[in-house]
Amino acid sequence: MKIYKIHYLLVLCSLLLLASCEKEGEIVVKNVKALKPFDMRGYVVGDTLEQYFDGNKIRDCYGKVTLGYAKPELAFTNDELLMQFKNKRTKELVYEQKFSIKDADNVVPKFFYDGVKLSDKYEYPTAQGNDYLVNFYFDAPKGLEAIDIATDILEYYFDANNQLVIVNVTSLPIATGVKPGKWTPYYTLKPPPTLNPTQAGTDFYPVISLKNSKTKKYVINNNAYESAIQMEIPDQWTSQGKTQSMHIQGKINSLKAYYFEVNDLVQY
Amino acid sequence: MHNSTKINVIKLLLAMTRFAFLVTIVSITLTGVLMAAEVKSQDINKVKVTLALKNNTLAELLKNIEHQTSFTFTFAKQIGDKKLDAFLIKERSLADVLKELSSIKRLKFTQLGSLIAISELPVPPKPGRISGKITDEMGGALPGASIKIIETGAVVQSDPDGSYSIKLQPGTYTLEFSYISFQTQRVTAVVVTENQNTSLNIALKIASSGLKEVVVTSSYKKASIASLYKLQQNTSNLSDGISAEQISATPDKHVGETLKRITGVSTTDNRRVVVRGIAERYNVSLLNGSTLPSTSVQQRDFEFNLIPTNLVENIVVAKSMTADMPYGFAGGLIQITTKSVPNENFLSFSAGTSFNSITTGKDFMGYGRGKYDYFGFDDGERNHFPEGIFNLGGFDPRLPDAQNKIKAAQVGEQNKRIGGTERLGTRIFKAMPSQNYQVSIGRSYALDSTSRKRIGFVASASYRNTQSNDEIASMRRGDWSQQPARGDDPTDVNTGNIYGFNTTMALLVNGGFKTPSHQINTYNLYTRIFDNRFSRITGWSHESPKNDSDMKFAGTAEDDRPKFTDLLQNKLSSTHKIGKVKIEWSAARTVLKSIEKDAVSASINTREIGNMAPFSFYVPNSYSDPGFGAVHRDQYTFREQNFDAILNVSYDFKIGSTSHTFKTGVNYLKKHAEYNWGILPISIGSKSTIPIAQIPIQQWGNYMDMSGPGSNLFYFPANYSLNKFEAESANKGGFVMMDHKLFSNLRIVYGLRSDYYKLDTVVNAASILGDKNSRLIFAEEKDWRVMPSANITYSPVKELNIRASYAKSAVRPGMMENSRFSRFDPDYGSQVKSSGVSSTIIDNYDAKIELFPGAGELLSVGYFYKYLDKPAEFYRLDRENNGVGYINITNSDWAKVKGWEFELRKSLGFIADKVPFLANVYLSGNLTLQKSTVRARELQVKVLADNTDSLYYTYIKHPRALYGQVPLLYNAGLQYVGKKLGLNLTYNHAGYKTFITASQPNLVEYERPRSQFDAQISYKFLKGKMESKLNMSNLLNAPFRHFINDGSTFDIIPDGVGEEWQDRFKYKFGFTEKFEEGYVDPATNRQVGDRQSSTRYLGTTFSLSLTYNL
Repeated sequence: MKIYKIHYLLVLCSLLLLASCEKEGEIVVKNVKALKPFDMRGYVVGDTLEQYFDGNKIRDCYGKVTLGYAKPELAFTNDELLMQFKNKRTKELVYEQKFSIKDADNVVPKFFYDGVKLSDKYEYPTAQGNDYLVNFYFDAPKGLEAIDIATDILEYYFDANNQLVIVNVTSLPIATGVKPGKWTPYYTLKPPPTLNPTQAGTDFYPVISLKNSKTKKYVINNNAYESAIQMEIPDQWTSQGKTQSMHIQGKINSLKAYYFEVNDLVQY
Repeated sequence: MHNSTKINVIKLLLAMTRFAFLVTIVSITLTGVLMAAEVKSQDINKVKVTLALKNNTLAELLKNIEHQTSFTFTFAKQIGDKKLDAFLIKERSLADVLKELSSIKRLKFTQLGSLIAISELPVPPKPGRISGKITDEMGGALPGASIKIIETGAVVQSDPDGSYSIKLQPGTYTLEFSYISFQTQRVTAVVVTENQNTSLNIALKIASSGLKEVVVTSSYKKASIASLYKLQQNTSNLSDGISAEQISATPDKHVGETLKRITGVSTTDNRRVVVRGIAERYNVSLLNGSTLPSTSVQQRDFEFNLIPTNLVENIVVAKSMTADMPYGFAGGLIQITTKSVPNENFLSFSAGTSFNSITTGKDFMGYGRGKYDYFGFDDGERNHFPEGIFNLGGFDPRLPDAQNKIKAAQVGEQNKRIGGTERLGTRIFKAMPSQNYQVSIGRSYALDSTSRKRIGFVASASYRNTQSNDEIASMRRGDWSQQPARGDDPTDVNTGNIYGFNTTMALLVNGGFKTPSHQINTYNLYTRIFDNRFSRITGWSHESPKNDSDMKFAGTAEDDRPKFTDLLQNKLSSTHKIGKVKIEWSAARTVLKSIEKDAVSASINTREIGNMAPFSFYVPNSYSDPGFGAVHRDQYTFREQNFDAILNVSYDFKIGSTSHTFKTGVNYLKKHAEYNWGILPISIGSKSTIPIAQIPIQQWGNYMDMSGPGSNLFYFPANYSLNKFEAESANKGGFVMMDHKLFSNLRIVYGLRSDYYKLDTVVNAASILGDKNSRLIFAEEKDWRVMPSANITYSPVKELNIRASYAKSAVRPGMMENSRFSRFDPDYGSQVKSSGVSSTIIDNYDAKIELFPGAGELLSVGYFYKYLDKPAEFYRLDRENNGVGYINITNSDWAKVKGWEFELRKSLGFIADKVPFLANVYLSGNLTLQKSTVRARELQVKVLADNTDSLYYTYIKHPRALYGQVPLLYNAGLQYVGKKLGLNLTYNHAGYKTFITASQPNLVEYERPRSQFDAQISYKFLKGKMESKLNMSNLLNAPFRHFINDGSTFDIIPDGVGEEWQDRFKYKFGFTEKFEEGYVDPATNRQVGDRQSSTRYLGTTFSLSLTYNL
């Protein structure tokens, strides 16, 4: 009887030992068949697009869509890759494209997504004469619900430390109470008027700056210069009109301060 | 009818009746004769039977016999039902058949003519045993003492070490112990039970009345309790220990589990031993009196879990020294003695398995495995170091062949010989439960009728496979990023795992021969360990922290160290008692060979590409950066051979009623160590067209023929990549010692030891380019040292001991502690190197008061003070001032350690006398409080006018704590020892520990306080033959957490001048040297708080084992 018990024990031990002898495991860094050049360009407003490759979500796309710091290449583990854009909110398939290992280059055609449909370009009205047409799309960071946009003419000088000192601001409103999430109508920008200096040694500099609609303070450090966005302003010598569609994305940096990423969709 | 006729008829009838009676008698007689004649012909010795039966009952067999003979059997049903496996007999007498049946089935046959009655024989009782040790009141062994068993009249004598063992039939006996000039002691009511050992240690009192015979009588219980008192009180030095009897009451399987039960001793991972809060470097472990080489090359550790507890005679931890101890220490000397001749025969099997909450059944990562990894052997897949690998010192891959000393084809040919890279790269396996098996046997044979001459052996073979996974929740040591780039980014953390795959096989064979005056033992241990430690950490480096652009995704550092170790120790030791002279000698040879085969370090880079975020790939080294580089496969071979011999002679003598011992001896320890390393960085040639990111590392070997830019990956060893360290040391010494046992309550032991130590490095090469021109400072001040020691024990009353001792001791450096070899250690995240280590000389002062309230109970208070001259420490140096530095081992100037020690062990029986359960419950606890200060120093070099270097030290004025110190340490335990059920709960707490020290507080690394809670349940089945044990360790999954006082927690002192940190910096408000997590500064979005340099979880382990004792 004892002998049998020992036999059972030995068999059990051997089974455990044999079951343990796993020699080949699953390789973690997977084999790649080929790395092929890849590029994509596009623009997204309204709703975020999610980019999927073979069913795996890789990134969110909003605003200017480029590869940025990502290396412009595709890693093929199989002969084909399926890329899909889906609306992040609705999960609706917006666009898909197949890439093949055989192709020398793989490019996503330039696209524009307005939150509803994807098209191959951004549509905008052509400016007449020397008109400067501009509309705005504002995406607000948390805590900033609406903005006022104005052409501010800064009267300034540089002090002994080469610091900009603003002595006077003349504000010409463009739009007030701009809420996030929709395009404003097109406004026609006029060349800023010529002003007389209020003190000797100053100069004038027109900017388009943003104010908090609620507090009426400039959004960044209550400073007109720091709260200005980059865009073209016509002057008295302007002879050729143009259209600008400014997408203003309000963001918060690592120091929890506002900053604005601004893109002109017409230029894009 | 007339009367005469009537009378005739009556006469006739009477005659007929007589005749009938006669005929009847004759008939009966004749029948008896006839029958007797028949029986005679059915003699069981003559009747032959043939039987060929298999798997039958006894009844069937007997029926068969009945058919063949005229005999009939009568028996009870349970006898007839007895099973017989096989019974094959041909033409054998019935008597033989019945004899055989009698022996195999324990039956008795009674013949009544042709009737044979069968009955069962009673089971004879098995003998039991009384064993123990006879000592004098001071604990000195009394060899040759007489033990008389009054009931049988038999007399035996004790062995040279005072031990005795008597085999007796079960019963109650009276024993009489006697020795010349000692009071004879008679112990009554010693109960011997079948197949059991009754332990009885006796301490005899010196006869104060000269030759007049005095016999003291006491009961067994009283005598054994008294001897327990004496055992605890009698050691000449401050020591604690655990005996085989005490170990047998615990559920411990191996010594690693038992060590932490000893007062003031704690272990890390059952390997490194901390005694009195003093780090492993200052403690020495001896197995059967000989030092064991460390199973790790750069650190001292020994896997105590190799030694099963059932082979252990005792474990003693000495905390103060006597002159006869050949190996110096500061914390403690752990002496493990294994059995050589067992008291009783035993055979035991044990099998066990364990599950870890964070390992078992989960993903288990590692590089390619070999077929025989589970058996502890390599199957050849790790053989990548053929003979004759040459270094590529004369090869520049940018130059054409014509301009190179070594041609590309030669490099390609060497690459081919080294072999492919198929084994490289991480795989995912499944972690299996740990498993262990062990068989132990002990046999003892008497060579004479009195059992005084005995020979015996114990042997044990064991196998164990353990898979572990340490989860690293935070790694911010060394080269890893020290803080998150943004304080509010919880994903900016370096995490990883350390996977351990360990197969250990051990074979232990000890044997011995004992006579009353002589004892010769041999101890032999062989172990084979395959230990594969694979660490894989993912995160950002200090040099390239996380950002939103090119360092968006974490990289991974992998380190695979498959190490095969063989350890063989053979030892012969002997004790001879010739009159009053005792001679002890021993000689041992120990060989340790360990080989790290195909140890690989590799880095995985990550980047974002179109369809993968991140995309990961292994990267080779740049051709311009020989050395270790990002990816290298290495082989490290370590061989250490030790020979040690000890000869001690002691002489016992008496002056009046006082007894004294003079002891002298010599010892010799020679060590030879050789460490070879081969480092093969894998580099990529200039202008390579190999698309390295898309080739898996397993296929790199296909691009190594050096035929052109499309195949120019190559192994790039520099001249320092293939080199070695070789050294030998000699340690010899002699001592004289006096042991005075004055009166019955005072013992004074003092002596002088002279010790010689010399280390010669034969070859001492550097392993990295930066160290090629560096030198080690090996400043051993003297070869010979004289070290006095003295111990006094005074017992004013029976229950109280007062002890005081002083000793000077020397802790010698390990062989590899003076090597110029350095290597990246993934545990520290840095290189570890030596600046030269010399001996540490320690003055130890101890005082202790012990109170013994009852048997097995203790209350003690102790104080100790140690002065360490040139203590060796691990500390972080930051010569490049980059906040990273490296780990360095070298001597500081001096250290002072002082501390208090408290201990309590008490039975709960006093709560309620009538509750026997409580008498078996013990409460124990110990507390160590200590404080240390170190004066650190830094080596400075000044170039003299004659262009030679002048070396000098600058001393750090601000004292700090000694490396490895734990200022607060306590253990609390609750133990229940029942007949069948055993329960043990232990709680261990260690306070802040200095893990790595440094001259600047912002480089010092501490371990945060940690508490571990363990529980053990054991239960005995089958009359104690089967024992099951369930161990639950680290029930609270307490992590090991380390931290560094980060630079963000201190401010510059305005107008602060001076070279040292304390002169120029001070802690910010709310921060101290202790751990403070801190906060995120909203202005900078940076963490202000202590750096959590390492947080590691081990999980909770449940292990179940079954032991069967035959």
